[in-house]
Amino acid sequence: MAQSPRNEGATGTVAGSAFDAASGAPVPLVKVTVKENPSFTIQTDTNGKFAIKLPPGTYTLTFAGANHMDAEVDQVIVTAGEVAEASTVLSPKGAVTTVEVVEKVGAVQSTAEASLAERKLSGSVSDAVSNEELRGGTASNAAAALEKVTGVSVVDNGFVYVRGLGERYSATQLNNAVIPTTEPERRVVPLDLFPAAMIDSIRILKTYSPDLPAEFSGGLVDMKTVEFPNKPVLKFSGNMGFNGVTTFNRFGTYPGGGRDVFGFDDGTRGLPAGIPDNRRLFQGQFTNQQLTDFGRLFPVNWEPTAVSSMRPNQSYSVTGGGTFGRLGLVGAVSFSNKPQLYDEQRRFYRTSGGRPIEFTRYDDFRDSVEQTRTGGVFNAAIRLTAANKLVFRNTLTHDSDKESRIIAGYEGGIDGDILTERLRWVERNLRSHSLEGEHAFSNLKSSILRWQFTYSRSTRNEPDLREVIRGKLPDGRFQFLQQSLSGQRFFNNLGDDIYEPQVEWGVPFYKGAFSGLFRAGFRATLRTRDFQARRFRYVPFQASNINLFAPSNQLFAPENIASNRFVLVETTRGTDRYDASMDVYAGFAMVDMAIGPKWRLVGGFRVEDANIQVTTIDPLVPGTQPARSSLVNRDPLPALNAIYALTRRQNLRFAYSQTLSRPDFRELSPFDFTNVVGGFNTVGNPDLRRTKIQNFDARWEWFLGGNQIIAASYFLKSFDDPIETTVQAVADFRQSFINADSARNQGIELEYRQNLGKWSKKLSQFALQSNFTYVNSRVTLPEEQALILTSKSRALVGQSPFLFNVIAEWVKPKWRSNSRFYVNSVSRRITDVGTFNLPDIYQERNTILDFVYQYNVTEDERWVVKFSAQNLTDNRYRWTQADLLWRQFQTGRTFEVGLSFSLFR
Amino acid sequence: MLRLRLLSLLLAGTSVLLPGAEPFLEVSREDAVRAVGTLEQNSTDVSMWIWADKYVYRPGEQLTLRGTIKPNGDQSPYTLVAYRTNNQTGERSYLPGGGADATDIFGNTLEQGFRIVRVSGLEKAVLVGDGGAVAPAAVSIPEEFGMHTLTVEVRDFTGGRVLKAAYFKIGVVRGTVELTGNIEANRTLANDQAYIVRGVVAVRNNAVLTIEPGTFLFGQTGSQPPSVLLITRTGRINASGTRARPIIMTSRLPESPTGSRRRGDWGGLLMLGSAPGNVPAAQSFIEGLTQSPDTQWGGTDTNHNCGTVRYVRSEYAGVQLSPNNETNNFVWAGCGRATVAEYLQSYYGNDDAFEWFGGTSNAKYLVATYAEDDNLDFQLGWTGSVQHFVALQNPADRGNRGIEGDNSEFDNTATPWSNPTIFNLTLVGSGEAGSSEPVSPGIYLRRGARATVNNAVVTNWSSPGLFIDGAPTQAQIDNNETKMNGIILWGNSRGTANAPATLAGQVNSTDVTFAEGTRGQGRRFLAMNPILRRALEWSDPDFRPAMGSPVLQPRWICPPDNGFFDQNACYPGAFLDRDWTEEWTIYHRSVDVEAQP
Repeated sequence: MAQSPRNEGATGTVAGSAFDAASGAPVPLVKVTVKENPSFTIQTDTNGKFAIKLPPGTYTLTFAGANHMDAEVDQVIVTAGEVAEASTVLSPKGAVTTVEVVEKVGAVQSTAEASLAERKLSGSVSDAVSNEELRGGTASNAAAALEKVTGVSVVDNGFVYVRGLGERYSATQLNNAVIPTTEPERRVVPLDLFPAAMIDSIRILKTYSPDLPAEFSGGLVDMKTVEFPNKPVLKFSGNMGFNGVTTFNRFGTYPGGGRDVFGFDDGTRGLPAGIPDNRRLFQGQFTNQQLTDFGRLFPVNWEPTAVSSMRPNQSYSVTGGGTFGRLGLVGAVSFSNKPQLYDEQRRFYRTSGGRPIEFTRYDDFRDSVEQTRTGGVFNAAIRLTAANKLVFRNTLTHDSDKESRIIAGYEGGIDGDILTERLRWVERNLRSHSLEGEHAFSNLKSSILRWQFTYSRSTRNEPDLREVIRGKLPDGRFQFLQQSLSGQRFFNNLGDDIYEPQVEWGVPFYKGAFSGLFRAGFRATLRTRDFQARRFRYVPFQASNINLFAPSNQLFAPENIASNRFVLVETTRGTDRYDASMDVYAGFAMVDMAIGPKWRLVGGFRVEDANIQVTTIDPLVPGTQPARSSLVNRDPLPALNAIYALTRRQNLRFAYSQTLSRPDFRELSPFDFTNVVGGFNTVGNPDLRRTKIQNFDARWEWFLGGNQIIAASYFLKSFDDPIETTVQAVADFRQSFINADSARNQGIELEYRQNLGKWSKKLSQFALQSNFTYVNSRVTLPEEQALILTSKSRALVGQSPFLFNVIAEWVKPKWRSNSRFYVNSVSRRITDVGTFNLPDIYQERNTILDFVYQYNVTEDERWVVKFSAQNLTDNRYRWTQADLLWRQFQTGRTFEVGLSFSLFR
Repeated sequence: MLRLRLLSLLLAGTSVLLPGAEPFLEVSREDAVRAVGTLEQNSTDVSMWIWADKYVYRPGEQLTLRGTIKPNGDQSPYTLVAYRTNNQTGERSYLPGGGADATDIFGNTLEQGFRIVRVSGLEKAVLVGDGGAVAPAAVSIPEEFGMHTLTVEVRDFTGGRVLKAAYFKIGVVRGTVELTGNIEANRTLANDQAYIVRGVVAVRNNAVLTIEPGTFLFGQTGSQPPSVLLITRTGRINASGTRARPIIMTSRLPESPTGSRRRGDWGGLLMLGSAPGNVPAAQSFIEGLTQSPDTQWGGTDTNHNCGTVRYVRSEYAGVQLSPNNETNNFVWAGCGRATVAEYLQSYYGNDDAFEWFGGTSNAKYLVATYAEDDNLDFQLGWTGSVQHFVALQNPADRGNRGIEGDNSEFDNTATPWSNPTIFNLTLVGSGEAGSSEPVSPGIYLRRGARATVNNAVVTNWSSPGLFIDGAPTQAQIDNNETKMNGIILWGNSRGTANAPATLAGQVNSTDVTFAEGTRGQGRRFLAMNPILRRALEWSDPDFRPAMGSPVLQPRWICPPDNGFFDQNACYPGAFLDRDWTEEWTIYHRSVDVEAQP
């Protein structure tokens, strides 16, 4: 390390930012001077940031910008070895007379407040979760943190629904770059991939501005990894806990590889080297002897095993960084291992006489999942001069699910009691590297050039999914069944790459009553994907030669793999491999402009050229013609946000924009694919068109000071050709996608955050945050769909009409403690569309209650103990169809104790 | 009402009720208490099956004829005669010499006198061909294109009377022609070529695909989507074979050796039409294939003509893509009344042998052998008729159900209801639990299915011979929609623990309430040994009733005179004295012709 902490004792640091009062944009090249000692002076950088080292004392800072009124910040207290924050807002000179004396902004101390300040000044409607809120809560990853944000619901462990709009209408950016997904059937990134320790802040943008990618409707989740600290940071933390359902229960697993516990398969599950990779295995292509040999290459490992020992949750992280002269470095590493048992009941229904009748009944559905997650961030920034900065950011996440599943119950398709055992392993990896530069040109009207080049790659590998299905005979024995999923070994992997260069030029202007920032930019998002799967199955030929009742590891023992016993058959489909690309070239021009003291307009145009190509080809039959589908569009997209300052602390916002939603690669592929996650047979539709969306927003917000706010919004979204899931009429259900006629979503959002000291002095240690969302949505379906789908008109899938969160906080400085209660409630929503007179399937209301208690062991917060209790009510996750149970489970209460230690203060 | 019924039962005097909450059917006391035994072999005639090394040959190639002869304990002196018939000309060439004058298999003419042999059992022996034990002379294929029949006859010691004949069909071709892509204009496949069906071959655009009698088609293995012959709603098939020259659709390649083929090698024959089904959409898509206008079926045209298939064998077809999503040997989806289907064999089908999705099409003289799943499967509103249907399973290859009928899996009360009329059934199970569905009854109605099933012999199933599953299906009996008359049940429930050894154990009596008169029709149910000649000689079965069989009793109803049914078939089962499966079918079990690995 360049600097030893001891030397810091002599001085402290003042750091902060300068923002434009009208546009909220950071103002670069502002001269910051210490009034008491003018020899300490510095210019703000391209982000409007500055930092000055000063001897301890109380100071006043003056800010002087070329196009702004001067401003002062007083009462800045500098303590040795600490960082005092002093940010301010500068009024443009053009705004003249009505602007009174610039408010003397006190030192902004908490990042939560800074987040709110950013919201206040933001050109678009947004909500944010700050690092502080992330750390303070129970959230262990980005997805969990977002559950507490206004209008956000998180579905299926990490897929974010903003304002109830499904993942189709949400987009994710990491450090201002589009990131690829690790899920073959999904279009967005599961946010639970990102450990909380790696995340600095998450912002949800709810209105569109032309500098954002056009695939936007519900919202854009904008994540930032850890930022450069102003003082050296080195923090260790560890968490250990147990879950009421999992820890002391019989937990399922299976013998795997030696590195399973860290989330890396060591090759144990790989496709054996002897299996040809360019030819399908079938009789005729290979001799019986060859097929027998192939069948014996796979390891005989089919049976789940049980562990009865205690399995605690554990997680560890280290975060460190500092600023060393012109160089800023920050890094974080985290690891967690969490077992979870899902003890479910499931039912499936069909209709008879207009009423549901039970078709399948699984009373014993035990899914044991051991999840590991490793993450790392390494960011470096170098300030070449005050006006030139380079940043290099690297993010890596890696996770794995080791799953052992046993289902027992009555299956209606087989008409009998079955017992299935499935072993699964999924490994996901996502990395993103970006190099960014920022250059301010004082000789070019203080214009700023930003550029960024990002390369991201995600992979998902699901090797050797094994499943055996047995049926119960009248004598009670379970016999191996010759079913298409029984005796199967399934391998698949996905790779998604994105190259994304972007450049943006911004120039401020000041002309009389008009002042603001003009921005223009270009972004290319070049995405490619390759997906490949192989499926194999052991099929019994001459079943009479095999003891079909033997345990699975005996059933598939080498002596039972022979041309007159079990024969390995490859069932890879012609659609199991596809390559796809999506090239989007976008340009925008926009202006962020204050008109007089009250109005601010942010508006402009974006043009996007998109070219999507999906090529499905059978790699195992040389010479087959690939099936191609393509979608080429050029879209001009206008957007306008108007902000009217009712008072100094109150804003009114209005926004209109046109945005898009493009079909996913999978949805365009003309062939069948089986949804890996749910087992549903799904087929794409090459004729899909993109959806056009018109968005209207109105919002009133009242900033009460500090991190207090009251806000209310109304929004309306009107969809043209929305892409909706449908079901085709075949002998079995088959899911596909169509462009529905139209859809409309409208709703209101309310937010309230206040320190209760306002109401009574006794309550000054208490704070309350709450938010509430109501959404009304209607999809209008084409006539022919009305024959199959039960609801002719309904809410969008995944849409909850009501969402609310309440966070109550009690800070007791004397005890150095902080307690928070969280209540998160999501009302019932459709998860699957009902067909053939069966009603839609709803997930019932979930209300989750969490509690966190934090105790600073030492005054200087070097040692912090945190205790958390999650899911205190042991919420019952429950799905129903026509008021009949469809699925339910409880995840149990989780109790954790964590300890963290910071090396530096 | 109740009193009236009781009174009538008392008056009837000899009637008893089977156990259960409600009467299942009326049977005589004698029939109800008769102990049920197992199906046995009742003929001691010689049995025999033969095969050549492959299906099609080029002129000049060498042929080897193999066979198995089982004298079944009969030590009578026989003579053996083998010949090849050119089915285009009817000319015979006696093997091994190849002359037109009759010789025995050793080359002796009648004048010389046929050699008298006592066969103690020949198993997978080379009968004619190089290195053969019987007639070691090689046989060369002449330049006579088309289908030929190899026949081996076991004759009496005089050489005059044929005791047993076995057949094997081969083709002589100029070469192979590959069929790929769509057939958009009328096309005829001639029998002097062998055809390879590669991928989805769709007949459309009002085209008619004509297949000459005696033509071989080979569904290429390993392709995805599977190789299928797809007759779309805008196409028709005209595949009209004859007893001597059936059309054979099999798998793999022309040169693949006999015994090397497997179930599921290729996709099969799919016929789609515009007749209605009960899916609540104007059209639906056939399972097993990619959705497109070509894979849609359904509509309102109850007279739709999918074409004619007659004397056609489909072998080793059926690909399972996912649960409940598969192709079969023969599929009719939405085919209408003008469709003709007769003398068809499904041999080693993966999944079902014959499957109907909706539609109104009829079929008769069907042979289902060694299906992996069900032998006759219907669903989604099929209202056609079937007469003369035989199903055979074996324990080595297993299978599931004789008939599996659904109204609709999705909506048990969807309309139009599945409601076929079936006469003259012989269903012989493997006696083992189902391979993919443990419950494997002979006749299985579920999910609201209606059916009229008359004159059936149901035997040797692991589950009960008749199984009515669930209340929605039971309701169809109670409301008089499902009718059965003349059902002989014997030797079923073989894998059913504690099944009563009487008629009661032959049906799933807990669910079934099936009574004459007010509550539906279940007449002439009989637990009696059908005394079939030799139903379990799998590679050479004989399903005809032997002396003393109840099939021969004059107590059974006759099919209606409606232009489709053979009205004279007033007996249970698919056979009386004529074996209509002779010559054009194949029953060989894989294990009985297994090629060397």
